[in-house]
Amino acid sequence: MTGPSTVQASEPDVVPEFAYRRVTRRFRSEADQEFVALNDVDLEIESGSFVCFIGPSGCGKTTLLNMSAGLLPASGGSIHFRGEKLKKVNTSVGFITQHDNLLPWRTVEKNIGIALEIQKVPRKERRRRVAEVIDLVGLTGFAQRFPSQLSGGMQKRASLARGLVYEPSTLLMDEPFGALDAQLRLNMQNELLRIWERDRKTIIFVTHDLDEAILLADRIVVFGTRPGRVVHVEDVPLARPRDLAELRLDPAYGEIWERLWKLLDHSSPAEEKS
Amino acid sequence: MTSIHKVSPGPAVADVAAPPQRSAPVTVEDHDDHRGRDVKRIVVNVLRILLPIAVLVLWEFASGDPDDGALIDDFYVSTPSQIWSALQGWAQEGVLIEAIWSTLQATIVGFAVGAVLGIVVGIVLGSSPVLSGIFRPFLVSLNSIPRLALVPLFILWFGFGLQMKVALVALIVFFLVFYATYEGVRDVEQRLLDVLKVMDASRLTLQMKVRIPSAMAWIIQGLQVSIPYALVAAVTAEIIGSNTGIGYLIQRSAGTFNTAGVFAGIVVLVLVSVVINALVTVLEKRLLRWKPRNLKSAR
Ligand SMILES: Nc1ncnc2c1ncn2[C@@H]1O[C@H](COP(=O)(O)OP(=O)(O)OP(=O)(O)O)[C@@H](O)[C@H]1O
Ligand SMILES: [Mg+2]
Repeated sequence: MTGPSTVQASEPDVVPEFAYRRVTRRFRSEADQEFVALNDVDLEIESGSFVCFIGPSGCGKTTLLNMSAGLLPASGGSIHFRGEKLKKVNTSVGFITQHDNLLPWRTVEKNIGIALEIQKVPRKERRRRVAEVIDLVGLTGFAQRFPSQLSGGMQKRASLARGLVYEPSTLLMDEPFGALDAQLRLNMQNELLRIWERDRKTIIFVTHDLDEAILLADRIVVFGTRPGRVVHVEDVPLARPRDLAELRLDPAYGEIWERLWKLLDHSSPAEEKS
Repeated sequence: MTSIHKVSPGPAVADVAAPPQRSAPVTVEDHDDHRGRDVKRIVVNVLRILLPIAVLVLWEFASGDPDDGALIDDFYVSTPSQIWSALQGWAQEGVLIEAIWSTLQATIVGFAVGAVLGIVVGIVLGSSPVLSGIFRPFLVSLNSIPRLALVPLFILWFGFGLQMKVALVALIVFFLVFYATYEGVRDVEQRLLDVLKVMDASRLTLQMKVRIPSAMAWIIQGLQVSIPYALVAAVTAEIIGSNTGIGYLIQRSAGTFNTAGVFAGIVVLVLVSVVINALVTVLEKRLLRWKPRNLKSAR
């Protein structure tokens, strides 16, 4: 993949970015009953790969990301991050949450720059980098607004910018493009791919959009419900750079699409009996 | 931060322009509605001014010597003109400004002491479950002591001067601000803390960048609520045992059956608290600019 890989080849077995071993998460529901949100997830995420999580609503995708960020402990099993067991908050990841968690008392600019503030990046550089990502997500001119003065999609983009600006080496992205219009979405997908191809970050990307998943991912992890679990892992060997318009004509694309679509179709109603 | 950004006013949000003059009946209704609201506003404003004047005039005529057929005995309720001349008397005597200043001093100093302590203790206990577990029951039981019962003690400790008043004001303000701050800090949304934790924020950073700003709305509310109490506390302390301040003037007037003086003291109090409240409102708007409610009203 990346040039002469003599160094990498000599390494015995490459440590995965994330290794999930029988990861289970239960929540206590109201009547003192246990509710299994995620059951026995066994999964490895290779360093530098782009992985998409896809699956019906409520199948535990966000829950798994929360656990990967170390914000939620697993009820069973273990998560290893770069070979070490995750015990506390995972500060090596950038987490772009499903719901924007902007600080309402900070302007867009100060929200986006907060990670740089924490890293004590000098003000001048901070401004420059913040201005760059603001431009990237198309929020130019809104830097001085407060989150409550933005539309939902704009808030989403602001939190996306906040996650990208400090260039964390691993990105957890929970439906980051969900609220964007088609055009913007396409731009953002291309930008993300560009960033990824440049830096080779590991990216875990949750989406409900099968096209988006196939366009972006090296591997797609399909989740099912009741209990939430991994039902299938699909490798996407399509050549990069990918272009959605061209991809659609590719028979390999069609095959993957069909297969995953069936899985997604089945995973919700078939389980209703439980 | 810098002056560059003051240029961008972002006009789109603030005011919706007058409705376009379309012919559909809906627009007519709209228009009427607008005019109706304008008329209402004018009526409200006019009545706001007229009503107090009317009350004053009625009061002036209703109050007097009951033997002359007056409705209210001016021994108990002085006429506005009597109150006015009492005020003038104090002003000439030079005690009016002195009393206001004395009361304000006690209010401000006591408020500052109580507020700072309340905020600090509130933040510390609010963000530490352990400390909160230890100290809260203690504070709750302290809080249940009737404050006025402590005044004699304060007089013993501090005498009749400023310190005694400050102690009472600070005590009352402390608990109000403490509870507001404590609740505010605990009310912070975990998801906001989580976002920063993932960014490797230290405890101090979380405190400064999330907990305190998030509690700010509560703290300001607590401060706002406690301002009138601070004034009341200062005046109460003056009435019970002091030789300066508005409370003392009221007490002295009552002691000599000078009803007009008592009323004059109350008028001064009302004016002082109106001014203070106006200042606080301005400050609140500034500090809580990010709140949707305040954003809309910003020009
Ligand atoms: N804190 C919690 N307490 C109780 N139940 C929870 C909690 N968080 C998640 N759940 C439950 O766990 C299940 C999985 O939730 P999760 O948010 O991970 O779903 P998801 O796959 O991200 O869904 P979506 O695609 O709609 O975002 C849901 O049934 C949800 O009700
Ligand atoms: Mg989710």
